[in-house]
Amino acid sequence: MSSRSFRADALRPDYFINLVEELISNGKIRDEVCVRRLLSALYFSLFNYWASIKYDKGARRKGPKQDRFDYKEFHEDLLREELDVELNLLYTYRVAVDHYILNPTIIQIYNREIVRLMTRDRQEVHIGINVLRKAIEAARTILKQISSLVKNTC
Amino acid sequence: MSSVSVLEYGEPYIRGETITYKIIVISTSETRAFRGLSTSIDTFIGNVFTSIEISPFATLKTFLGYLASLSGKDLTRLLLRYADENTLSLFMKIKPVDIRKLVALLLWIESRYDVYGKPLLDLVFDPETNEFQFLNIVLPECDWGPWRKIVKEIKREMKRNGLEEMTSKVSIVCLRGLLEPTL
Repeated sequence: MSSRSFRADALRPDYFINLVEELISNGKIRDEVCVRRLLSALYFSLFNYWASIKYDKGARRKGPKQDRFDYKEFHEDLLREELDVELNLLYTYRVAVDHYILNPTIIQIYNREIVRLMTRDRQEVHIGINVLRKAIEAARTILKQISSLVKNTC
Repeated sequence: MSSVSVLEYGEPYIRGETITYKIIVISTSETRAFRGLSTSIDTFIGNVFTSIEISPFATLKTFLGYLASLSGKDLTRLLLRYADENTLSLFMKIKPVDIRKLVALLLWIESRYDVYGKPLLDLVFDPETNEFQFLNIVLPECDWGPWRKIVKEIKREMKRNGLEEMTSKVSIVCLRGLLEPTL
């Protein structure tokens, strides 16, 4: 039996996701800062976990210890597994909470026709507790699939 | 100079419902010598026309077949149905996927999911690294409910038709669905 410690064991985010859910049910999320930080953390907890499984399986990428993985590879793995809904929800809101100050806001879109439609229908990214609830669902779905999705793609 | 125009017509379906068919007529960049019909013109050089029928029952394979003989210039013109000049120029700079396969996919999505509005193409870049991430195919009138089902249908059709590699580069977005949880 191997005595090697696996990074994925330390970085599995089940407990963290449950903790975010508990904070919501106990009414502990009282301001926008909490929503923003937790949304961002949910995304990164999954990104770290995905990368750690890859690393444990022998994948090496950038950095002095070759343990820095790119978002792009993470996103590609999720899209291959048909997790478009979950990825779009987590990534769009993660970008909004980390990089945009206004609430609601509109994140960078290059196709002006999409911007026109969003403006016409007043469709904007609202950062609030409802998104955090949806993000928890999405995070659970992604977590469930992450282990199996990296099995054959190291 | 090639051009793209669209003809639309409705056909009765069931109980007074009508199915809309579209025919995209492309005056391609390919030119050929044609024999003149009048006695005063023997032959003339003209653009070759081709047409694509957007029917709700067509498969992705059908559209891949339609596009097989089109030139890069004609494909670019067709892509402008789904992207503006700005988006197109970004796409051409990066070329993350094969343009022929992408246009076929967009045509198929337009025909299959007509009820959710014409699909629109966008590119996603990470704001920290400025690195290209993936292509978004946006269905403007689609909400949260059918989103997962649509993703599965599209990605399975892609896998069935040799576009498996592209499934990791393309993301399907129901625009209303994405913004729905915020309300």
